[in-house]
Amino acid sequence: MGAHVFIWLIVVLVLLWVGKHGWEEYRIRRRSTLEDAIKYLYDCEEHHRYGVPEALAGKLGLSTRATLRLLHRMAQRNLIRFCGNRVCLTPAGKALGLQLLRAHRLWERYLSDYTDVPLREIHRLADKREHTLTQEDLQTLEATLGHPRRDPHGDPIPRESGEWMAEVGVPLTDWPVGQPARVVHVEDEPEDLFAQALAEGLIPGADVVILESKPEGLHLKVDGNDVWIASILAAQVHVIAAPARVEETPPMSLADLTRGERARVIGISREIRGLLRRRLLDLGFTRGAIVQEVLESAFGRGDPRAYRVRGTLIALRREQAEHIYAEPLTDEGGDVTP
Amino acid sequence: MTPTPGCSSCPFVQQLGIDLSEWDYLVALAGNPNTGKSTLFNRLTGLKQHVGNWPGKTVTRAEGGFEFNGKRYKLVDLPGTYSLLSASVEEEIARDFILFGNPDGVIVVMDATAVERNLNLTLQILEITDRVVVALNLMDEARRKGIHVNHRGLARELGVPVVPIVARTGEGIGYLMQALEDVIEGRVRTHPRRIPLDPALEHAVRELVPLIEQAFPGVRNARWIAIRLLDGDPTIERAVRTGELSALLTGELPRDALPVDETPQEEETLYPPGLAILKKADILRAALDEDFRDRLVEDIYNEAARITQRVVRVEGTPAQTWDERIDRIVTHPVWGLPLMLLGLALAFWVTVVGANYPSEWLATLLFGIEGLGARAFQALGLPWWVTGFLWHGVYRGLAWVVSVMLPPMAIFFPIFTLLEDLGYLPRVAFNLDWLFKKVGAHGKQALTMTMGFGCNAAGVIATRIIESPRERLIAILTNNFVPCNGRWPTLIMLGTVFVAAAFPPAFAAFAAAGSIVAAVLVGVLFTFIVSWLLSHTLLKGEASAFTLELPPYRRPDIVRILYTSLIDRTIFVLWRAVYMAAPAGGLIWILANVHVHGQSLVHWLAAFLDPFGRLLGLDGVILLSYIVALPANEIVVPTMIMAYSGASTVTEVENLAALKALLVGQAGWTLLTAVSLMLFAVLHNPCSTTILTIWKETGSKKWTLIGALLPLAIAFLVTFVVAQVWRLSGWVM
Repeated sequence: MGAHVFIWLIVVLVLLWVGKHGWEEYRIRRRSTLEDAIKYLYDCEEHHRYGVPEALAGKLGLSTRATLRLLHRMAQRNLIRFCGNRVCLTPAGKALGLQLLRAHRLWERYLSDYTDVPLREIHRLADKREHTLTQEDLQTLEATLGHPRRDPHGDPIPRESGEWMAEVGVPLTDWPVGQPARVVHVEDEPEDLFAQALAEGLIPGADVVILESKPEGLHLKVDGNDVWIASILAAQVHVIAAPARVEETPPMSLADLTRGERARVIGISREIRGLLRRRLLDLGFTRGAIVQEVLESAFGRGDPRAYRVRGTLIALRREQAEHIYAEPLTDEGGDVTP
Repeated sequence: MTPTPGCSSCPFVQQLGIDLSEWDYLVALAGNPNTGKSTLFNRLTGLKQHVGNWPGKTVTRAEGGFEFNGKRYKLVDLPGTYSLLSASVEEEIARDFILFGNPDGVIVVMDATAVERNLNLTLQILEITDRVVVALNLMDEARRKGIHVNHRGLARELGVPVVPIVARTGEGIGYLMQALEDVIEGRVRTHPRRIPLDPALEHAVRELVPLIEQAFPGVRNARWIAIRLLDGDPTIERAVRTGELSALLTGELPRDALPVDETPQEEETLYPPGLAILKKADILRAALDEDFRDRLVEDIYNEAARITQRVVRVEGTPAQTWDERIDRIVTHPVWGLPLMLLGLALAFWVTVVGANYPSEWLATLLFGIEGLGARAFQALGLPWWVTGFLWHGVYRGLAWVVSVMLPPMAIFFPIFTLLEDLGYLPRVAFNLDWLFKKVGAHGKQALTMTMGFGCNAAGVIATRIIESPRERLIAILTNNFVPCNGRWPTLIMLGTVFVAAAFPPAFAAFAAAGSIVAAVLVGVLFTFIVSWLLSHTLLKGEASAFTLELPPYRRPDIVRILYTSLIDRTIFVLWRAVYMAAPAGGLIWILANVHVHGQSLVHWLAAFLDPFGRLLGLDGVILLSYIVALPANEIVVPTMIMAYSGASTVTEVENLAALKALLVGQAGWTLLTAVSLMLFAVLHNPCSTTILTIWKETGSKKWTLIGALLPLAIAFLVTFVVAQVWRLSGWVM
């Protein structure tokens, strides 16, 4: 009989848990749907399109009735108003949209700098988390991350005030032929030119190379596609030098040192970010530091290894050591301070 | 310089220990890890100290007092850190205390053998406060290594007094105290050195400083605040935004008024000039190079290197040869591993053998008191159940746990601390890291596991040495898979009664030892399996950062080790016994002595649990014992014996033959029962103290729940599978 009571007890506990959990889930989902709608409308307005209920329904995967109910709820909260057959955001709605965007991008930055979540999963996680971050959370997060300017995809992160970091870019017309560039800004006035730019894929973050420049227009490769655009349009598009996708591999890293060999640190790879980067710097692996390889773990086949840096032995794993770039040091330097 | 007498005998400094009443000056003790900071702390305040946690944090805080020249000082030991720039909890605590705790003075302990590294922190502290005295510690070691530090030159460079000391012997402490008093009372004016920043950053800082000084009059470290604002610092930004900065800095607002992240935020009042500063900082930051943070740390270290070059002279070859020679041996591909295993085996052997006698004495003594107490109660004419409940229940549970647990702990923990202080344990972590890396864990988990052999709760606390959040959580959640002190009796009993008996007498001892080792290895195996599972599922995204310092080998401070590990652990164990084991003892007594339908509650409950127990190859009594022994695994075996023999109180059986007769003859145990029980003992849920500790250390209900239930589920699963396979294959029954 004991076993039966046990099983029933477990069943009841599971049911209770599911019930409570389910209710919370429902509330979060309801809120998320509303906020996703706001985000969509915000995005539309940013890109000078207009949100229409049908498109919204499609985007959120809701039935027409559910969409109408949702819109009704949003209007009640004074987040939207109806302008003709379109849906416009009120200032409150815009503010919410901006906050969501800010939350999304800050969280993406956090995930990429402070956790091991792969880049392709970042967007999905941020889509969930953005709904539960408060204004104060965002302030703390932003300061902790050191006020990042962009999310990991290169999109700017709006400030709390609603300002965007001014993008210093060069009009595409002034960009040299053949040099890889990245779009950072597209003038949004006049509208038809903007729409045209979007149609050609010239959006912030797109990678562009000018293949050919003629007085009447430019032949471009935009994210791999061949595009011809008029000069008047090219002047609307601002670009910066494309961030190098692959870092130049310097001659060697700390992982290449053999026992007793010394080297001078050149820098830490961009791939090391957040917590670990700060810790490595604080431990003294800064540019110019002189590092000596002292010990290898015999059991891990040389991983980890211990390095003497600024008078202390610090053990690093291979995947860290190979991201600290260094140049070999002739042994006559004699400037290691113990 | 001539060595001054040791401090305990020196005329000036009077250790006050935990007597912190009516102090005149508040002094903070800062420094890198492994600089002998705590030795200096003990030297000044004596061995007795207030040890607790920083409010809301799982970082140890020690406070103590001393008297010098008629003034009473309260000394606060800050966490040892390399820097104050990154966002680790330790650095935040140290930074906040120096900045907002309003200490009258700060002693920065520097390691004379690693001046350049230590200057990084010193220079940062000098940016925050000018009331600093540098204690240049480990001068004896520096002399031995041929490192000459021109301390007067260093004092000139830094603009604050620098006093060479040897904290271990007390050399120079008197001078250090005098310098501290002079700085605090203003007789010595300090001119702290400022870190020269790279031009762009310097420009931005200069723009911000007047704004800060205007908005917050009286702020003395505007330059440092400007640097922090540019760098990004949640605490400072909030203080600027709300305008609380001045109040916090001058101590008008208690430090606790700082909004802590977890507390719900009430509506903040905003301070317009503060907002203007943040906005300006935003604009200035945008103009800076994106990796200006790297440059900042670089600037500090470059400055440290420049100063070092001027004041440190190294004679002959850098004399790290001794350390290096030892390192070659302990990390040797052939000798390293045997040496480590030998060391651990020795530690355990000393613990087990050494604990035997004191355990017996303690048991005799404590149970003797029980007899006396019970007789006294009877003589007073108190009802039998009062005597029974208090003496044979509550007291006996307590006495049992204390006598079984205290002696091994009192031997094991000092040995552990000794190896740690020697500098050997970090090498073990270094040697074993490759293994832990494979399962996504940290090499230092080897140390917290070793600690777990003593006590899992202590092992969980020990995970504080793992700075990387993900690896720390893994170490916390899996610590339970190494059998602690309280579980050894079960394993030893099973090994000797069942496994040894199945072999010819010549091999019996080996078989017993082998079966115990096998059980431990199963635990270690599950540590790795579960670590791997956790790091690939639940903890996949948690932050991770591996670095491991290998501190130089040092002569340990034996007296301090003995004192702190004995006193700390003793109090811990006694506390645990009182709060956990005593009620369990009471409960067990009630279960054994309250009768329903002519049978004790133990009988009914065991019968109720029996079918479930059988599924796992165990029985109802065993499960019941584990349930009531949740507070302390030490009483599992005595409770089982009590239940089987129908005794009315936890008890022991005289000899192994009688025990075997009881378990096999009366209780119907088989080899399967023994094997299942061994597995269950190693894998089952942590004791209530450990669960409580997990909750305190993680601050999360979710992780506590996982830490408690995951092992239990695994124990059920493993024993269930083993029992079914065993029965199906027809080995038994």
